[in-house]
Amino acid sequence: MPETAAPQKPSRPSVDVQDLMRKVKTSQVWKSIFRHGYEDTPRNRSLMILSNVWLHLHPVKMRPAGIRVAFTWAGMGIITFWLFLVLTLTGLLLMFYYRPTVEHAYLDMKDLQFVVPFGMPLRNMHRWSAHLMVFAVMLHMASVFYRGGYKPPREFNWVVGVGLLLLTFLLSFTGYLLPWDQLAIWAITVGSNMAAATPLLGAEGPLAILGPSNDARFMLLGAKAVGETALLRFYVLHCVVLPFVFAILVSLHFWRVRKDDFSAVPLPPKAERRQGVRVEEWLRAHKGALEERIFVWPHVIAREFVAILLVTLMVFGWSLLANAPLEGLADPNKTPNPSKAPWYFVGLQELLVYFDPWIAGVVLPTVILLGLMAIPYIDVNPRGVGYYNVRDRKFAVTLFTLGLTMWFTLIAIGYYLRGPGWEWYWPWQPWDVHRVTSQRPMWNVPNWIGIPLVLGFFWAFLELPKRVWKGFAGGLSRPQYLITMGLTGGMCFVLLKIILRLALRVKYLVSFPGINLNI
Amino acid sequence: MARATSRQVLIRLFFASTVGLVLLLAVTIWRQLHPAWGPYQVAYAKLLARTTGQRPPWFTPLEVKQIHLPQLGRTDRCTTCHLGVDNPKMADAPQPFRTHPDYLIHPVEAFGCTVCHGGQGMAVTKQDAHGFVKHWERPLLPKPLLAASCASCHEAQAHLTTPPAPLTLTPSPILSPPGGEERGEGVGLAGTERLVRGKQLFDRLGCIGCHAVRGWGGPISTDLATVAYKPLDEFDFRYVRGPHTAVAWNLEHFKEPQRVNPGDPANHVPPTPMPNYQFTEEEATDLTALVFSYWREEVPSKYRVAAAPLTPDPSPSLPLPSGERDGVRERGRAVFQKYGCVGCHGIEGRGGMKNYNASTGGEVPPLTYVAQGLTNDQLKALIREGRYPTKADPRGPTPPLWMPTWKDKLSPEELDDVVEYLVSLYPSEMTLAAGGS
Repeated sequence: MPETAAPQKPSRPSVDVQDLMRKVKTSQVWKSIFRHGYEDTPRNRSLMILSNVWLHLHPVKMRPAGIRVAFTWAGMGIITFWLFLVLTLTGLLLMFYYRPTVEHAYLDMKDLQFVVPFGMPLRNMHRWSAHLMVFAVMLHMASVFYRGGYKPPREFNWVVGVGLLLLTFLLSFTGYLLPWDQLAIWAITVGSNMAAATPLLGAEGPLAILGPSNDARFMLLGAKAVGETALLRFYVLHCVVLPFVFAILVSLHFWRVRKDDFSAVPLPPKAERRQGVRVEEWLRAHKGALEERIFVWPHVIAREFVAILLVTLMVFGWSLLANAPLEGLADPNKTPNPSKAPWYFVGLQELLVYFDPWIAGVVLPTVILLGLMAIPYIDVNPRGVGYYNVRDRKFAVTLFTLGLTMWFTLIAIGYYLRGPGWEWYWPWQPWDVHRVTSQRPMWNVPNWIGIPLVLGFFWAFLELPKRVWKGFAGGLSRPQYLITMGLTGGMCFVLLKIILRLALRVKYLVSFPGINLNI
Repeated sequence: MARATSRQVLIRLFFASTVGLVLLLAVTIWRQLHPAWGPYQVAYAKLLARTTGQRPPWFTPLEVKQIHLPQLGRTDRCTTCHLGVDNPKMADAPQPFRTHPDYLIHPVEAFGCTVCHGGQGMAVTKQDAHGFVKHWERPLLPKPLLAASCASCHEAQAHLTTPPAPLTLTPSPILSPPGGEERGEGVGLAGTERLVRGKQLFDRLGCIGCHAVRGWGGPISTDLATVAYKPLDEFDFRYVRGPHTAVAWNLEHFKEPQRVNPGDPANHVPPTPMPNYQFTEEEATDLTALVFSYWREEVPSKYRVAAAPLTPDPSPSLPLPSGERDGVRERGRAVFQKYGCVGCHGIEGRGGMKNYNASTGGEVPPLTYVAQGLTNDQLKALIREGRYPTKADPRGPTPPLWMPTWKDKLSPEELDDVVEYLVSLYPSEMTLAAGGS
């Protein structure tokens, strides 16, 4: 090594920051924690995803079509999951203060409101996130439907999604009881009474084989009425069992989204679309378009992050402005009139006007859930996967939209237009507890008209489409056709009964009061 | 200006939402550090320093103050603002710091506040704590009605008709076992004068004839003991001028029953048959206090003051005079009073109570002339069986008042006595036609 002149010592000690940083970053400690640099290189963009435990479920690259706000409806699925995480965190914090016993529950809610530091914002965050999550999961389901994200090979992921929808409802339902106020106890009474109307297994349903001490409702509540046993088991369900099952299903759901690849496809340019070029044909001609990819880090992650920030801002702001409701202490001897289920179940409660409890509360929800799950298996139309297509999917889109509209309309009626005695009250009419119920009497269609009518109605839905529209059943196997038209007929039958009841005051089309069978 | 790129939009949204979140967090923290009750504690600390001649503190740590009373099933946080409640030096301080009058009698550490005053003890904001919020059934009792709460512990003494003994400042037996002095026989409770007056009015006017108390009394109208328990959403406040509280409803109902309960003319529901007795403000307040004194807080036996032995009194109203020296007529009048016949048939049976659409002249029939129209046996049968009046206008509403059946309530001796009394109501100047017994 060549001799250098005597090194010039600096006049005062100075810290060479860059040198220091270089030393730190090449030390063993640093390199054991941070395994790659953060300069914006393609390699680092890949490693940000691949070597990060929280992010590595994302792909390193994905098709740009899948990140557009209009496509994912602002990332509704991710928003739903984020709300679940917010609920978990706020829920854990609430668990420090809340005791699920009849003596303590309500007072603990009051303590949270008045004494616990940040108690009210915490409680509000939990409640409003819960409502928003139920709404977001419905929007996410609608979004996936309209862009055909359930078609093969993604059928089972849709089924898992419907399971998650049900779990979201159940989580919200079990949590609704915990404040132990009048709103809670009576909403859960309405919901659990629907269990009692189950055919065979419910004490008040048709063909009941069990009594009130061991029927489905008793299994749910642990008693014959909503009380301390219901509170405790709903607490355990809400905080442990249902979140656990939710976590399992959501892991499966995310895994399958990756494994089946994101469905989003690029659309042809507007000019070609106007000329009538169809997406599938264009994609076959332009294979390269499908291959185009962008880095998930930073493009997708940035969008997810901003979506999460905006949702959090919205929920936090709302929590500071509006307080979660807390009515008087739960009193089993005093029933408020009206007693309404939580908003996402009030549509089913409204259906009770048109159908007996075993239909409105048991059969219809079951058919709706099973029907939703069946959608991927009865929809054989290969078009519309990964983009919004109404023109080539008219039947499917019409029926789904009809069902969704009916669902939300029933919710709106039950929430805004029903007052004491479940009478019809326009928003400008004051509620009058003394108003005579059923001011205009209802009438039943005689069975000799009603039975042929109902049978004929369903026969028409099952047989006529095949005969009138040739090729209607094309591509559908017999079971697929039967299920499709059965569900369609069922939905239209519900609509028919609603119209008959509201317009003509028809109560039942078929009535056998002796065996408690009325339709 | 060119449309912003998505990158620019993202960056702007990022900064806007981050700034927004930080602001909201700051607001939350600020709200937590500045509770509504904070200024009261600061003001009290300064007041305390001034009265004790010390320098005012430059910093007052804020703290929720609570009295945890598991035996009473409540936690009262009133002292978070009402800090001077047991400090004798604060007798002239402005509210909420003023000393509680006679605070040694029911010390706040043993009783809390809400067991007597009502309100929502676990709240720390003024409106919520005073209970004037939705879904809280028992707001603060107004000051004149405070005596109504005494009955929860002092059940036996609260309604005695003898004038109460003067107040002695002995501490409550809760904290120290009772010494020699005992609230004994026939001595009323200081502070409950209103209840005593209310009860006297109640007895004199025969309210028990229509309004039972705890199941004993007439079936015509509401059991008075249930009024204090009636949920707020079951009250009809449409015609109440004052605040929409149970107390205000009852006060106005006493003063002007037909205004508060006008019925529904469109649906042929007559107004309430409760007579307008033209009560003064004091009388109406006394009666309202009586009504609310039937509320019972659930207190353990340690808090209850033992009942003093009384002469056996089967009825909650006036005791029945006994002995031969009281004339039959006196006994009959006592029965007439005891069962509340006065309430419908008037004092001395003079009548006058309106009974809408009744064929008896739209009124409860007076009893002054019963000796002429009915034999004693007919009278006894009528009292035993009761009677529903027929409608004057068949299309009109059903008359709200009727003669109840008394056969299971009056003993045969009482029945004989009251019939003798009724017969004796006939004015002696007029001769009795044949038919009297």
